[in-house]
Amino acid sequence: MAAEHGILDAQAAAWLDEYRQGRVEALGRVVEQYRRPLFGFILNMTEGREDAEEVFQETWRRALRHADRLDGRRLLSWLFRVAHNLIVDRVRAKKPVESLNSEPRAEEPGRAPLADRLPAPGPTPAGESAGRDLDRRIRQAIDRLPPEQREVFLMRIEGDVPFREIARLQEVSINTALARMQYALKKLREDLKDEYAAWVEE
Amino acid sequence: MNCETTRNRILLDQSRELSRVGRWLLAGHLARCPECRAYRAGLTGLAGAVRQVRWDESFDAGLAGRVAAGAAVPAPRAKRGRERAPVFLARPALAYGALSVLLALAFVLILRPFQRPPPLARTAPDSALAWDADVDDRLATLDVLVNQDDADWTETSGAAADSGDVDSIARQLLELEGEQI
Repeated sequence: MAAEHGILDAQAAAWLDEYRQGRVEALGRVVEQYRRPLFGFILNMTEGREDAEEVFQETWRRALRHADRLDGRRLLSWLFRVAHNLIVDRVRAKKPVESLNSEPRAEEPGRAPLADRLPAPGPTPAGESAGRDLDRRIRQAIDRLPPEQREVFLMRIEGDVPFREIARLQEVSINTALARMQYALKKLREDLKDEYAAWVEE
Repeated sequence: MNCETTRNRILLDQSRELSRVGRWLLAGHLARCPECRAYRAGLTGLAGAVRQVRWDESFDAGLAGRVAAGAAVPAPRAKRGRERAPVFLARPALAYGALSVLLALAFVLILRPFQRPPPLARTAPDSALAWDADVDDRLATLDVLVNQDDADWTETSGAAADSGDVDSIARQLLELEGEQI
């Protein structure tokens, strides 16, 4: 898990150095490289696509303000932290009394589940269709997690953010962060029972 | 070590936060616990599948380009160093003023240990003042005695006074001083 992130980060570090030398097109490659995990995290933690795009842009804008000090090898993890802070600020601005420690998103009034907010897949070949079905099921399962568990899970799996850092961001102990991850995994195991059995056998 | 602890250790191991001892304990437990091995395999499979999810299907294709295009071109570090220099040089008076203050401060701090101690307060050496007063008294007494002796000598010896008389008076004075002291 860590090795995959390591390779991506090494590549991003090289591109970030090029950007610091004045080649703006190198930044485009870094943004593209981290687009999927970062946007995925933001999309899962915000109110909708437009909201997510705003946070995505603002995350990069803030990150690039400190381009000199950015450590390319830990860039994704750092971007997740910036995004987390932006999302918390937005939640506080909109609903001052609510926090991330609220009920699962499906019960939030006036908010459609993530799967419904994404465009419906078009006609595809059988293999791709199966892949899209798994995508949808994973999205739905993650969407059903309580926000604080969802955030720990995505930060850890997509952002490679260490538990110590997640705990600091969520202002809880590392044991609480680990417990949230374990709860999230337990629910995902139940929701993705068939797939999980196949992964274990592999 | 129970399975719950082991599963936390598996998570910490994957985030590279597990100590060397923790890794050793984890390896030992995994070697004899098929459930925890299955847990780790399931976690790896789930993480891999989640990383394949196309979250960004709804992503505005032009957004990444706009982020990059909106970013300022960072100036190379060396160039920025050169750009900053004239800002400082544009205010030489400020720089010289600051330098003068620093030098003056350094001068004062360096010379401070060599400064003479302040004169003793007049109240401190009471004994010295007392000594001065004592000497004055003694001199006054001697003066009286000398004048008295001088008068005695003039009356008794007249013009026949000689050096022997002077010596005797001197001895008398010394004896008197000795008595006073």
